[in-house]
Amino acid sequence: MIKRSAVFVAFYCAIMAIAGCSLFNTGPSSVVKKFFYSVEAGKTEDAINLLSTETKQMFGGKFNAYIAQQTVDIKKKGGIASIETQESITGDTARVTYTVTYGDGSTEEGKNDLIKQDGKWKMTVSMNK
Amino acid sequence: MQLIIRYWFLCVSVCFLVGSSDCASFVRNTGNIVDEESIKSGDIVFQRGLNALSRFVVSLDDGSVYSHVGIVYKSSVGTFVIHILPDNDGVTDAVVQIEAISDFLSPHNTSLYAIYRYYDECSNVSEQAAASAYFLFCDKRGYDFQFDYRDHERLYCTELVWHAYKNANIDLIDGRFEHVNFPFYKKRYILVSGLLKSEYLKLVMKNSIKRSF
Repeated sequence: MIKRSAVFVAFYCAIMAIAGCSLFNTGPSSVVKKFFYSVEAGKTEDAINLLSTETKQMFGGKFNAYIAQQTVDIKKKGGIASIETQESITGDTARVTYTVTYGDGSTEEGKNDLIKQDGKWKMTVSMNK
Repeated sequence: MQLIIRYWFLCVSVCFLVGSSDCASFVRNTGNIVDEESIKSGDIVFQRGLNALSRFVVSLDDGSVYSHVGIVYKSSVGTFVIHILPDNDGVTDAVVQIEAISDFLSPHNTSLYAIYRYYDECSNVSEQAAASAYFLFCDKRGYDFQFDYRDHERLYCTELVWHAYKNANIDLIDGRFEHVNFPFYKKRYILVSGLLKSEYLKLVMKNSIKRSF
């Protein structure tokens, strides 16, 4: 009985660990995905918290309104159906290439650079070279 | 002696016009700034600031060591720079501003600067551009956080300079806009490096500012 309970606990812990990895993963790709899903959900503050300090400063206070407009636009496209990402990490910088597919079938492709600030990946603006 | 009195009067006039309460610092800083006599209306002043945002802007624009730009406007009372910056607090609506060039290039907020001029000094293009910029200042145009160069009701710093010259029928970047990487920002942008590369501009002077305070 004790053995069976131990196996069950171990199995439960393994499942939670796997679930935890996907839910709380804070890698560059995950941050970009969170950004899109936060914008879709209208969670402007959550989206803004994923930006680097300087990016927030550059966009200024009016960024909230701009993000709110994107929430409306995403809804018009039928919401986000899926987000495919590829990432490359070099030290404390990373680049994520993404393809967002919307409910109406339209897609949005792009790249986003991230930097580590206080141990967390934060999205930043970069020049398209 | 007469020259000194005239110079002092000019300084006081400039401080009064721009509402500066720090006339002493204006006079003190003149040792570091450019000779105003050698600057013309319509000259373009590139500046590198000292704060984190300036470093960030420079870091994302490989082709430039400058983070900000404005256009010179000369009047009978002094030499000014017309420019626009985002609001600091995220609440107030930043608008096009006019600032004495000594303040614009103050060692308190500038580490590097360069001044460029429209190549054909015999034409009145520069004066037209300066007049256009002055109109944008008088019209209190706001800062464009969407960075949309097609919307002239709101402007960002490079767009202000570009738009002022566009009104004088000169496209400083010849339609060569840049793209940036950020979700939802799919527009075309005018970067500082784009203006620096302009074939219509020639370098007049550049310098680094000594911080002696």
